Amino acid sequence: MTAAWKDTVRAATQTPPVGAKERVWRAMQQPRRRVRAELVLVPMALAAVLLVLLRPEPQTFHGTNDVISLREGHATWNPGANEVTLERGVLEASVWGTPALRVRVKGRLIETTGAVLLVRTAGESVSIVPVRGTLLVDGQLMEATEATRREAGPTSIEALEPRDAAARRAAQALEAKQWEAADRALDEVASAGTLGAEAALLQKGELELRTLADPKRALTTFEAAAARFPQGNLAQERELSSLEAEFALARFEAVATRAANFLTRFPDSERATDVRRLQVRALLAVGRRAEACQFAKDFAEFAADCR
Amino acid sequence: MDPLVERCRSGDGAAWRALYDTHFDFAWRTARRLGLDDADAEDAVQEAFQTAFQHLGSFRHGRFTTWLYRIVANEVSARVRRRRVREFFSGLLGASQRTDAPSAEGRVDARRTLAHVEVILGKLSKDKREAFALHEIEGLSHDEIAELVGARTETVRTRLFYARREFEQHARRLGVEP
Repeated sequence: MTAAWKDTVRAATQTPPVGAKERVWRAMQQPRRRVRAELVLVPMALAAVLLVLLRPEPQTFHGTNDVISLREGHATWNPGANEVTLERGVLEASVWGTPALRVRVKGRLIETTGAVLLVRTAGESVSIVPVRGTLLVDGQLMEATEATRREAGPTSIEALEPRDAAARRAAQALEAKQWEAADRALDEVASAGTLGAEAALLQKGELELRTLADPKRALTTFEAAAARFPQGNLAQERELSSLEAEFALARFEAVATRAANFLTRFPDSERATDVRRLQVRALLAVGRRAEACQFAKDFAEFAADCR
Repeated sequence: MDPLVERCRSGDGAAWRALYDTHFDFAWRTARRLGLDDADAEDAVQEAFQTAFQHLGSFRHGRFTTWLYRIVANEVSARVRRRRVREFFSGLLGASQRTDAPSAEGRVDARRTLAHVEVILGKLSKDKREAFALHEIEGLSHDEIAELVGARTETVRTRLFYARREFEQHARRLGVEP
């Protein structure tokens, strides 16, 4: 670390902000506020229940590293349990990494941590097609090694399609924290050009950005994903991750421009708040304080910068 | 033992404030240099002093600052654990403009440096980040760091060796010369 860097960091962290000492002292005179878990959890649980009950026909669900799309029919999503209940119709899910996804259908429970699957109902029968990876059905391992048929009362379960070695290797490598091996395997999954390719590419980029701490490589992956899936289901998530990679590479001007474009294209996006925050940080980093502060009103963390 | 601590323990009300005034800047600087932003640093310092005052009776020997440091570092560590990576990175970027760089260009340069340092520090483990920050930024010796963090001097040397190496590797990946 050069002397100039040390001096800069020391200067910025040498003296507390004006009034901080008094502010903290006054706060200490107040009785300690303890957050009672039930005051937070009970309303959250009620809100989750209401959300599920009031949502009549959800069509598409997005979760962390998961894409669950309801092609037809009716399903409900319980985000707390990461569980989707398929009443009828066809559900397509590509699940990579954790947490595990649970699908309840006709009294059966399907669990998976890294599979692409199609679940289809027809009357009382259920058909499950794991395109890749493995699943647990009612606690029993079900592999997509070859065409398999299981009969269980009125419900039949079919597993079709050959096992995909790369998907299996990716899941195993992630579990074993062998990041480079996981990265290579995810690349193979993405190259196969099937259902989970977009999700695999995104997860590969995330792995490179956060775990391998290699934003340049991550950016290349995100750009490849953007070229292959310009209108993909994960376009907004990919753009946010790309912005984070650009930020980690200190390309602050590019972040500010791309963030503005994103917010114009997707003003109501669930990722808009995170993108706005990055935009403010980037603008501050390049000294465009007036613009930054115009957008920083909703973020307490920038109060000191915009005073 | 620190006379102020003795006075606090004997029930002298004014001594509490004096003890706080004496050590506030140190506690705040520690929280800040271990990776918290201004707002989080204030909260951490508040929690740390409340904990320290509450348990002052159990402080038996050694220097008060060493004891306080460990409380602050624990509080910082707990907060860092609770934060998502991007929030953690935002810490130093949110640095206030109290830097003594007067020009706009100077501020931008300072921000870039702080951003780089914070991004890189955020990639180090807690122990390495602590050793690195205390040595490189605070300028403490290996022995002093060992006493502060409650580890052997050799352990601190090892942590520092790997922390420096990782810091340089991460800096090169970012395309900067640290």
